[in-house]
Amino acid sequence: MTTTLAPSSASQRNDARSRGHSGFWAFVVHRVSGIVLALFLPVHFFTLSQALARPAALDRFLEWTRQPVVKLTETLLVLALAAHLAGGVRLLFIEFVGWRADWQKTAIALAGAAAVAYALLFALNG
Amino acid sequence: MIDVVPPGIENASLRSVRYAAWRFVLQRASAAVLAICVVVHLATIIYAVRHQLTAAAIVARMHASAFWPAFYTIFVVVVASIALVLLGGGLYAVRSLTA
Amino acid sequence: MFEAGGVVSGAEATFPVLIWRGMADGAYRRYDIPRRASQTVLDVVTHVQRHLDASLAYRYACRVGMCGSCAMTVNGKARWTCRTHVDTVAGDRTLEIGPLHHLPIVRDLVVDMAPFFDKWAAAKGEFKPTATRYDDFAKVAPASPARRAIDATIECIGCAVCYASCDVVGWKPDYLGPAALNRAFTLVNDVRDGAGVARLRAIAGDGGCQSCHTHQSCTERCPKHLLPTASIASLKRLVALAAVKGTL
Repeated sequence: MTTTLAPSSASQRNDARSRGHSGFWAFVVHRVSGIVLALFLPVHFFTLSQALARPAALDRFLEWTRQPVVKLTETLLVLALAAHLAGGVRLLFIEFVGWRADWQKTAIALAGAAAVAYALLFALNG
Repeated sequence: MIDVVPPGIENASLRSVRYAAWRFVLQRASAAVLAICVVVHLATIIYAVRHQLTAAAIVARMHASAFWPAFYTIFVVVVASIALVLLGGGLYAVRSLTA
Repeated sequence: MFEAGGVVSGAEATFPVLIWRGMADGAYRRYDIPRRASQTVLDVVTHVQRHLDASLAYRYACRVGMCGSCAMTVNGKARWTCRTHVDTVAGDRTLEIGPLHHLPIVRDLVVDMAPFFDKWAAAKGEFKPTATRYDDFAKVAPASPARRAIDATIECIGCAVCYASCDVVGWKPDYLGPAALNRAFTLVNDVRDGAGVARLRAIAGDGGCQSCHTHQSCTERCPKHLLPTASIASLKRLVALAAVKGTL
């Protein structure tokens, strides 16, 4: 069976008005944190390899990391990791444990709260 | 206007369907492994920060037992494989979001 | 100002409404509509067609929230216009009425539903009978888990609001979409159905259930309060199990 298909027009794109609900923002947080982590990890691995190979240079590097802007960036990266973990666990639950109606918004709230709580724990202890 | 066969699976081979399904299974399985690894990693970070361990102290402790090298090897391998799969799909969606 | 029955005495208060006119390369055109009490968006469109511009093309049928024919994009969101009060969506903003998203525009507010139903068919959304008229009636226990799962999904009337609301449908032309996948899940749970693994294969490919990113826009907007996200999550589980067991 064939159908004559014309594409839908550019004016028929969803915009911010249809995206103002928590499920969409949970997706954005998960996607953005994933990209941030994917970009950060090569830097992280490089730094670690340097730490293991050249311990003397490590001390100079660690002095640099004590600057406030670096501490802030570290906190944001920890937040990204915690948020990505919490969001991912939420999705694995929905897909492999089951859908709990009326709990979806609560689940998103709990995942967000857990991520922020963990990042605060890191920032205030560091 | 073009006459096309409607999008669907009639034209896709069984092999590509199985491949897509397996890609999904492996991605979710590695995500589950990573969830555990990340929880351990985050706990380790907090422990190190609260006890104010120097980098040298952390490295020394990591070398002390066989668990840590094994753990981090698995961690890195799974992270690398999942990042490759997902970056490909993620870039597609980022392009779509900004289109 | 407003008397009982919604009839305005004296000069009528009007409010501006933007309505999409033309085809894919069309534009929004402004109309000034008399404000009435309990006015729905469908009332607005009908007023335009009957009193202002008879060339306006739009669809409706039951006008009481049962058939889904009047689905359109209202201020950016897909809705049934007969069940959308102007007071709820317009307020101080201009009311903007356009055709459903992600489907080709025929003209004005009418879209071509064929791609939507083609994907329904591609997901094997039709019942495949296994019994004949000579067989006894199928006995399906109402309280069985499979039949209860169907309760949550069966009421879909194919209005395409979820399809228009789904961002993945907008990003990925091959994606079968929430309605087709929801119907596939309904049939997967139907013990009388004989499609079996063919249906799982139909929804497991690249445009299938694993493309869903759980935005839940479909569930947010479904006028019948169905849960396509939940159906799709269940399909993901079934596909994963079938792949691992080698039965896919």
